[in-house]
Formats: sequence, structure tokens, C-alpha cells
Amino acid sequence: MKLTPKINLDNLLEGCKAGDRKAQELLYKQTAPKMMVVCMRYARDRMEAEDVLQLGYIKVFGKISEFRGVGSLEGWIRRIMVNTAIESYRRNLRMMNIVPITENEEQIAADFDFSRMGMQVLLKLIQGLSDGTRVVFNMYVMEGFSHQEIADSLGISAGASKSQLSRARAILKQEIIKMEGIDYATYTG
Amino acid sequence: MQHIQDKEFDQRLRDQFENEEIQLSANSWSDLERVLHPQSKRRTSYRSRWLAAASVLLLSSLGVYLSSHTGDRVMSKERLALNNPVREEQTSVLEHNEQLNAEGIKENIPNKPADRNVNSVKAVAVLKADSEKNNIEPELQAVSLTPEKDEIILSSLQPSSEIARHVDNQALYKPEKLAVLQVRNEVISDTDNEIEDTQQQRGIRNVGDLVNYVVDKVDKRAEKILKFKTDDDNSSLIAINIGMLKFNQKKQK
Repeated sequence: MKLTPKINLDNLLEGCKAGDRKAQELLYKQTAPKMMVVCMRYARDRMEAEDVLQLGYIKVFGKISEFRGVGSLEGWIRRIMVNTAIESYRRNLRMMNIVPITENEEQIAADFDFSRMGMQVLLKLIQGLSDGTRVVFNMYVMEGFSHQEIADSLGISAGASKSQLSRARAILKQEIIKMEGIDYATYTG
Repeated sequence: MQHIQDKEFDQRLRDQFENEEIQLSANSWSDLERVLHPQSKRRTSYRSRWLAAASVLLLSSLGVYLSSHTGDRVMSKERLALNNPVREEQTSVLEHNEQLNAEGIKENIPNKPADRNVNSVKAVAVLKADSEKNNIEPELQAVSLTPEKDEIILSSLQPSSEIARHVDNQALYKPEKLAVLQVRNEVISDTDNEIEDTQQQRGIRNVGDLVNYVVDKVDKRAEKILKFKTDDDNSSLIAINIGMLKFNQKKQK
């Protein structure tokens, strides 16, 4: 049950630009739960995700006067969160463990119902990927970056980005197939 | 069986995260707010800390004050008797002598002070009264009250009495009075020094001493945040200085 009433974000924008603390709090409570999902996809665990979220909102409130109203405010905040997560990854500079992909990867049936798994289960599977693979997967699949953009952003080659994406898909499919006969309601990862 | 293609797989995954939310911890916003507005938060926290510290000090000092003036009074008398039986004996002897002195003075009032013993008794009474105020050594009183040792007092008063005789030969009792005053002044100044010395030497005997010691180490101001009077085994609060709130028993007197 969501207790926070839905408020038009544009109404909060002016208050946030003026540094009004109440407006900042309302904007945070309105948008942060969605942004937490983004951060959780990029992070290994909840603690890391919360750090990224806090860093992201510090940037949001610091730069909100630069928001010109092109596109939605939520989309702008989301881009800041993704950039913060990528920066966090680059700062930690985790090693991209490129492992050769097995060609005989298993396939998921076309009629497989993803909704049976739920977001939390998928989130666990994504967090289980290695750091480099997870970042590439998120940037390509979830955010829609091209391989060249990913390569430029992470300082790797486009080919390395492609192979990381293939690896991510293969691992996720494998895990989903394993779980096909499992009661997902009781799955905790 | 038809298999899912990569693009479709990606799309289905994306759909699973569409419009999803994860509830945040209760203090999530307050943590961020502390980072966003550090100065105002810090100011309020300092203020609240000072208030808390001041209230704790006030409460503890009030507790010490109340305990030292109620239940501990009986205990301290017993403790005094146990710790210092000699002083107890001296006190009782002095009380007895005081009664004797008072009787002696009463008996001699109609006859006027003609004899030296009476004079010495009066001088001793004055000395004794002063000594009680200033905690003079009881040995002096004990010696002066014995008739055989009156000579000691007179010999100690001799230089003063000679000077006084030059000033006024008619006044019979003036030399003794002058001598007594002189002795009293010396004794007062010596006693003040002794009190300071004994306070340093006797160490920490009760809560008041402990608080005074800690406050002296921490608070370098002339008027300390708290000061306890610890003359006897009981301790009582005599001065507070917490910014706006100041209280000093000594000054009031």
C-alpha cells in the first residue's frame, strides 16, 4: 500500500528550484521508490543501491535549476540515477571478467510467462551477474544504449560490450530455465 | 518448440520492471536531508546536546544536594564519630568546658572582673568562639582552659599587652582584648591557608569533591559551571554558572 499521495511533479519543481525543503522531501518520496529499482539493478545489494540513490539525489537537487522542462522530470531524474550508477561502477573499476560463452546455450520457450517470476526474483538474478556483465546488460537492455555508447562510457571495446551482453543473456536464460518448475512465490534467490 | 528471441527476451524483462517500486527505509529521507542541509542540522544538534548536558548536570547536582541534606545527615554524624573519635571527645570536652565557662562568667558578673583568672577565662571564651568559627586547633582551647596553664596564654600575649599598656594604662582589659584580636587575625589568615591546603591534601572524599575535581579540570573559568562546598563529609552546591543561569552562595552572603 502506497501512503504517499500522488502529487504533480511539475508543481514541486519550482519549490525544489528555490531550495524549499518540503518540496524536496515530497519530490524525493514521490520518485525515490522507482529510482531505487534502477539502483538495485546496477548494484550488487541493497546497501550499495542506497548509496547510489543518495548520491543521485544529491546531484538531482544540486542541478535541478538546470532542468529546462525538456522531457519529463522523472525521466531526467532517472538519467541522473543511471549516470550515477555507471560512475560508481567506474570509480570502483571492477574487473570485467570476460568468460568465453558456451555456444550450446539453453533456450527459453516462447510461451514462457515472465510475470510468474515477479520483479524481485528477476532482480536477484540480475544482481547475481558479475559487475561488468550486469552494467552492460542494464545499459543495453534497460536503458537502450548502443554498444558503442557503452564502450565509450566504460572504456572498453564495442566487441567486449557485445560479449558481455551475450553472457548476461545466457546466464539469465539458464537461471530462468532452472526455475521453470519452481514455485516462484516461495523463491528467495 | 519455438524459442524466445533475444529482442523479445529483452522486452519481457523490461516489462517486468515497468512502473515497479521498492519501498525505502524510514530514515532514508532524513539521511539525505542531513547531507543536503548539514549546517542547520548541526546547529540544532549542538543546541540539543548542550541542553541535554545542562539538564543532566542540573539533575545530578540537585540529586546530590538533596541527598546530602536529608538522609545522609545522620549517616555522616555516625561516620564522623567512627572516623574521628578523638575529635568527638574533644568536642564533648569543649562543650563541657563551655558550660563551665558560662557558669564562671555568670558567677563573676556581680564582682566585676578583678581577678586574672576571670580575665583569662573571658579571653579564652572569645578565642574559643572565634576558633569555632574558623576551625582553630582544639588543643589551643584545651590548654587555655586549664588554670595551671594560664601563664602560657599570658606569656604569648606579653608583647601585645606591653604596647597596650603604653597606649592606655587605665583600661584593665584592653591589653587582653588587643592581644586576642591580634591572635584572632593571625589565626584567621592561617586558617584560610590551612583550609586551602587541607582541601588539596585530603583528596576526593565524597561526590562534591569528585565533581569539583572534574569541573576544575574541564572548566578553566574563574566562575565554574558547578562548585560544591565540601567542608565536612556532606557536600552542598554553592555555585552554578551555566551561561544565563548563575548562582553563587558565597557572593550572595
